[in-house]
Amino acid sequence: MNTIYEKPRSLSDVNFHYCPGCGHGVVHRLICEVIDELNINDKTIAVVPVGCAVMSYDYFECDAVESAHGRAPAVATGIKRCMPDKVVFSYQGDGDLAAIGTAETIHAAARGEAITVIFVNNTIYGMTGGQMAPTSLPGQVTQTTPCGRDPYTQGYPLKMCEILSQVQGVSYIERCAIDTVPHINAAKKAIKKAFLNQIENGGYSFIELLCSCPTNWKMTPKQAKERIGSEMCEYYPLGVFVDKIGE
Amino acid sequence: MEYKIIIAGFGGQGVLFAGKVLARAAVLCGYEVTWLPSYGPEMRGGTANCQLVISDKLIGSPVIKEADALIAMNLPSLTRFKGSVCELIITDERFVPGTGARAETVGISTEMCNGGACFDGLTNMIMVGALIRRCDIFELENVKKAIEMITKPGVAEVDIGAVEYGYKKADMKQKIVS
Amino acid sequence: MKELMKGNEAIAAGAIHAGVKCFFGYPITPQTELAAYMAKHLPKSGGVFLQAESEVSAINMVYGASSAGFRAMTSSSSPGVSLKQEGISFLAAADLPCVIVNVMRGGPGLGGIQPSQADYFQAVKGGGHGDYRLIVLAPGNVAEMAEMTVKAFDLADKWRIPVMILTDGVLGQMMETVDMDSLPERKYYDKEWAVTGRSGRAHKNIVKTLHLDAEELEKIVLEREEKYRRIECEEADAEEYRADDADIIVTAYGITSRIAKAAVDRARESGVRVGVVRPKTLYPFPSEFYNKGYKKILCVEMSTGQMVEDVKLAVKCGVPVEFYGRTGGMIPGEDEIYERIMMMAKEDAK
Repeated sequence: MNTIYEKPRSLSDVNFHYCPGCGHGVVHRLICEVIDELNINDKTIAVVPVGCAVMSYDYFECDAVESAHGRAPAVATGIKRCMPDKVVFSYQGDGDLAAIGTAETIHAAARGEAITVIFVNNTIYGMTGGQMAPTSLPGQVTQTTPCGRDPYTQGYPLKMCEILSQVQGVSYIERCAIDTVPHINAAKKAIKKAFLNQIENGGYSFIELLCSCPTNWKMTPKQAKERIGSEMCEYYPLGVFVDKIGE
Repeated sequence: MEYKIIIAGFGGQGVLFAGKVLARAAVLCGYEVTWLPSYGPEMRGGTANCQLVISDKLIGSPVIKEADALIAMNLPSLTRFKGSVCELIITDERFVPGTGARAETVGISTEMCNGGACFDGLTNMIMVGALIRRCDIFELENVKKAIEMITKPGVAEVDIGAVEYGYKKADMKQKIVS
Repeated sequence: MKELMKGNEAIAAGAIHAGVKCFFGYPITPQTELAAYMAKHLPKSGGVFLQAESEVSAINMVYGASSAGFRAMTSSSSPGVSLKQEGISFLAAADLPCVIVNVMRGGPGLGGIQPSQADYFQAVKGGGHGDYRLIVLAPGNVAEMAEMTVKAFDLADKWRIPVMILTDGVLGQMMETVDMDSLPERKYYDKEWAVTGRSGRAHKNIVKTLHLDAEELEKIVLEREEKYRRIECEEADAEEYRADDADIIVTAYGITSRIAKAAVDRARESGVRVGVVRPKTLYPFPSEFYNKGYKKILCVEMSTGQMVEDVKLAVKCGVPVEFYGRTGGMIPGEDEIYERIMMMAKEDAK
């Protein structure tokens, strides 16, 4: 009998707490497939955020540190600087990475820390019940923007890949989407490249993944996937923003 | 024995360095010592001072209320601290007239050393030389050794020359105002 | 050999002696010499010096390095330490060892840059959110700043707890002699809990502070409380100075204790039986040192009265406790304390 599909070894054998149609589960799986393929489970340390993914330390079968809201890049810096031969990645949501932790994000990039940052952008604060995120789109209705986000009073969404492209210390930035099979395959390729960049070149990589949050978007999983491909990809274009690997 | 010295002047005149030389020399003479600088924005261009307590036993407070000796490298420092010195003031001879301090005041001409101490930034070392001549705490040799210990190679000689100049100058008693 | 060093430098030198792997900091007066010394010397001993983008980042870098099992430290001064409180709460909650230095300056707010002891409450009563304690050490001279730093790292590892060195601008800035050769040797502790990558370990290690189940969280917090009780029994320490036959005790920590000693010497010359109790640990507070039959206690601080509350708790209202303080960067004078002692002695004679 041929095994054509199995759970990655680096993914724990427990049920996710994530909602149906949530992007986190897919992203977890992609990361764990990469860890398996690179055979680095024994030397990988996950730095997990505050937000829906806070309990991802239960899902990754590697050592993990839970960090304060927005501080994952600083925590990852502390770990990596002590153990340069280990593989350190941070896993962060949009509120964590682009609001309360913007300073940590930009300065870890500026220092070119040899870490891999996985940024899950679902344009909303999920864990707290659907408030406006720094990446919420203009017009997006959330608990704290009941009339839709008005950039005039609530500011414009931050495009983190574009912002970090201006920072010299980074070596690889790509934005992918978790909606269609081709996009998901491309996302895995980007994640793998980012981990390899850390291992082989000691480079800083930043992978933004456009994900769905059907619960807080008040959509079906199918509608949510469609929103990624339409509204989100329009505002947050997919692609490679920086690739200085090998330079 | 406990001897308290305040060194004050403009930032850039080497106030803290003069204190460090004396502190190091005091340690070489076998004393306990504390060196406490004024710190903060006044270091940049304003007035700076440091306080030295030298003692043959463990030192209590490093903060000086009444000093035994004062090195005042500018007029504002002399004005500010002259009232809290009981024994000896070393300052520039131009500041001496009308000082009105109760401590013995020794005015040193600081302009005649090498090309002029003000230009060479040596006023501090001349004053240090004068001070150690007038108080019985330090040995000249230890002060020289202290300078050698804390300066970069090649600099010590000039500093030591200025100390010796001040040491000799303070021997001439005509500029003393009591 | 005896070296002349600033207090801030002595802490840094002590930390390097204690095998600190990394220092993460942010510039602020009056602690900056500590970071400058680390920048110059720590890389030479194979360590990591990194100037962080903020106090918040610095303490979280410490959190990361400590998670990995390395000796890590940060230092700051009052407003900066306020910024670090989030991270300190997390370190305490994750039972991570580290050393945090606060070279106190006048507050609140930006306050001033002159010395102060007004962060006592913040240091010993928590500071950040949640039920937790730090071990808080208070050096009294420059030599002790080096020595206590070595001890701070050992205590942090022994108890898996953040340790704070609480000092002030005077001690940080002043130079005094330190005999670096006489520093105690550092101790080594197993850190099987550290996240180092699993490499062969059967289970994964997780450093975390989240416990959504209230029963579970209560259990963990209570276990930590139990640890604090043991720390209180084993680690409280104070210095007694001329206290053997004393009726009156002046109590003070850090720089203030030295001024108090000078005042006590003078009062002794005037025939007053007075001594000093100087807490070396502020948490745990050395309560038993105050219950030795003294008639009166005077607590002197560079604050409006913070440690005095712990002194009152220590004597359980059994002894009158008076307070004398200067604040905002002012340093109490020897004569001010002397006069207070003489006043108390005179009342006693009546």
